[in-house]
Amino acid sequence: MIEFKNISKVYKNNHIALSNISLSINKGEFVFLVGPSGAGKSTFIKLLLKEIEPTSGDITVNGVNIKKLKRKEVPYYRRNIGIVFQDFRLLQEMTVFENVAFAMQVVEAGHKDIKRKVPQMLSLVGLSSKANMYPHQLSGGEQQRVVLARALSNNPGILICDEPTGNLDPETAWGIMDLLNDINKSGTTILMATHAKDIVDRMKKRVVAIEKGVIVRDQQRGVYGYED
Amino acid sequence: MKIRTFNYFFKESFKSIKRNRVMSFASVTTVAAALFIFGVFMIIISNVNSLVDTVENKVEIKAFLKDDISSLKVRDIEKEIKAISGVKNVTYESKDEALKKVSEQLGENKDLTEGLEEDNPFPASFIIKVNKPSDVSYVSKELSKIQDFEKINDAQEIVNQIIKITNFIKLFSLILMIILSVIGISLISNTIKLTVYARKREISIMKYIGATDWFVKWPFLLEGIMLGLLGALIAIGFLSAGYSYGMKMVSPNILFFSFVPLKTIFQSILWQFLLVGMFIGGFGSLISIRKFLVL
Repeated sequence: MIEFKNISKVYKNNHIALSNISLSINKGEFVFLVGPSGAGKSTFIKLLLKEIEPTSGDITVNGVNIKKLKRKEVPYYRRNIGIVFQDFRLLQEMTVFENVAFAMQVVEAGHKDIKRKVPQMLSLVGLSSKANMYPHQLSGGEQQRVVLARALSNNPGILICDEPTGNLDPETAWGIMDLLNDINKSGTTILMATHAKDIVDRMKKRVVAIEKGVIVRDQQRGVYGYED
Repeated sequence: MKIRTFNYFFKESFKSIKRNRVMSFASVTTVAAALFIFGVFMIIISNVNSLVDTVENKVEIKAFLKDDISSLKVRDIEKEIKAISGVKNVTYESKDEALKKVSEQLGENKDLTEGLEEDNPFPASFIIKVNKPSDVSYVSKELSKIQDFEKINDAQEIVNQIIKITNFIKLFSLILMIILSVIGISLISNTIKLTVYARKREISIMKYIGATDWFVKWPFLLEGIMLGLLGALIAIGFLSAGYSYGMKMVSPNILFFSFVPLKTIFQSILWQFLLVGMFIGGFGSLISIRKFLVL
């Protein structure tokens, strides 16, 4: 489903973020992306979102070489990828319901679809009762659930999570992980960059470790492998 | 595009206008001022043109005869003039009549003409009225073929003078409008810039979710267009109010000329103003979208 082939990324200041990386992720997989800060995890995610272009190599997603996507086609490509950030990035002046509805509006979903789908998503993440609250009235875990509902509202095949539990206490973090696990079981491919040793070790999913721009480890049912 | 999407665009634009009240106000005011000034000149021109028409309609040609032309010859010439096509009627004014007319015009100073009867310097003339203003130049030309005239005066000169002045007013107002429009465009573009910055976060989220470039751009474009339109509407409002008031104040004092009716003027400028307002607004926001909206 996702294929990185000999990908290198050298930034303008000659910093080598990724060097000759090849990686393949199948549909329905749950993959942890681990490694020290500045190892290249963010670059990896940005490349996958086509926010930046690789210096060399090809990225294929769902059989499409995304390097060849025209500028106009990028938004439609991104609709297949949900994204969850460490800092949530919710719109503060909108309610929970509106934040999720907004994601559907942006991709020009129909009014009826939005009305039907948003409550569904909120119920999935367990926030039906807080639909009319504003983000600042919610706890960190609840906000991240809203983000998840938003990310999933357009039925993406891939969910990218960039340290989704980074700002949450361990208990809340586990709530989110359970949710991610459920989402993964229903068929969504998940790629999660994280520093949470505990979570990686206990989830026993595929672990890809990046250090200084190269993949140093790729194991099924792996562990975090770094000291905290 | 879905109506709901458009509703969203409108809501966003209104929100931004409210958020950037001060800049929005400045932009609208400038556009309104630009169009108002242009409108004032257009009203002036339109009235001057109507004045020109009035003058042209009253056009008569005065052909002065050379001295020492016998009254018999005068009658021949009169026949000749009447034969020219386009001539409505011909009146003969003798030397004596011309002198009398001048002394009447002098009024209290009529004694200036005393003693001139012996050696009357004023020439006899024919006053020729034509059917249509456009006949003037043809008739003038034909008259000049008759050798017995010293000089032929037609109103062409005055009309030309008025046209020259109108052209100058037109040019002046056009330049002024262009300057003010440029200011308007730059103010609107700055207003939009503020909106872009205020919505940076939202835009980045939209881009991640998969919003198309135009989906992101539309609210900004609409905001600019609305500001421009609002400016145009305000200008039109002030112009029509000002013009009706002005007509009421001035009309009773002027008898020889009637103002162009408000309706006639606004029939032609309403759409032009709305279009120019939209153009200024749209153009201003496109500048900012290109410069500051990094997608």
